[in-house]
Amino acid sequence: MISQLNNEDLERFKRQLTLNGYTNEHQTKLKNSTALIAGVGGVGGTTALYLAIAGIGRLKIVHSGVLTSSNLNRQILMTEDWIGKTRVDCAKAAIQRIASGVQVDIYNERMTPENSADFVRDADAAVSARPNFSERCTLNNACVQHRIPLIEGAMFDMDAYLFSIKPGLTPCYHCLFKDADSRWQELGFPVLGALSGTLGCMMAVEAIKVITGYGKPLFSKMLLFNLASMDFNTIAVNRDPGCPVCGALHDTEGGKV
Amino acid sequence: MNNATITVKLFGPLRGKYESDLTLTISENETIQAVIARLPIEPHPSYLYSVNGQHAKAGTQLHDGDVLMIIPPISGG
Repeated sequence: MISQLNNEDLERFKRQLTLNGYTNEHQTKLKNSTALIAGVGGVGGTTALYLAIAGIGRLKIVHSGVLTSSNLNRQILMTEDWIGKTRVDCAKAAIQRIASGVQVDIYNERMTPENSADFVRDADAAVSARPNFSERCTLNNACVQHRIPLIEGAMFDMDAYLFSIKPGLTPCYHCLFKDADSRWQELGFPVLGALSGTLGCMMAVEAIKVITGYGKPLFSKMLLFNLASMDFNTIAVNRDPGCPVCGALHDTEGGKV
Repeated sequence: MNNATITVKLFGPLRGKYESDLTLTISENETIQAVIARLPIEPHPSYLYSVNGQHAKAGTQLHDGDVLMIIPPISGG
């Protein structure tokens, strides 16, 4: 059953309800939607926070591991007193301090081929922010299989990219990056918190657009930016008709948006 | 054979020691694959290429004034 906006919602979100083209209908969609956040680090944690304060109904946060001191330069949901404890618990507490109406379901797990279908199945959109290729590929495969839109973003040093995937309509992750680089050292990337936060905010905007139909998501486009030079580029990207993950899908099969 | 001047934008870990875009003089119609062989980077099947903002393949031929982006997958999250 659709939950309508109440008086508290209308007051809380009145400044975004005056955005050009953004209506009560968009906000109602957001209120009744679930976003899967795969990874609650500097990027995914920021995305989760901004989706929560924008009024999303439910977050499912999937992340395995505990907080370390070296996480604190970028992870805005984490606090110093939480070092050594499970990250998803701290993320949930932080989000609900700021936006108590959001349902936050947490899973201290990695994204695997065995559990990924359960995570994506009831999501309206997924956010890919895990720091390794295997989980990003696993999430892509599950989203394509269940026709769930996926917001893909990643950073390295002062560079980042961002694109949105609508299975059957746009390139999927595998269409663009066929062979994840096994030389990558997980968690070894250089990162400035302000950059991962910038990317996380952009991913939240993309998720809101994809979920509500507001604006124009980065479908079949990739945004690349370097914050050392403030160089921003958008490129067109194409599906691979022979893609083993999404090649058999056609846009008439649709997604959830 | 005519020469062509192109701009190369490297991304993420490929940027390496280069702080800014590269300007290269190549042969007209040289492929992306051939240009990579000129650079101190390892070829990799997972690279994504863009020429003048459009998705390109390793065999795409380059022309004077083209802007080539070489984008490896990254996964910092």
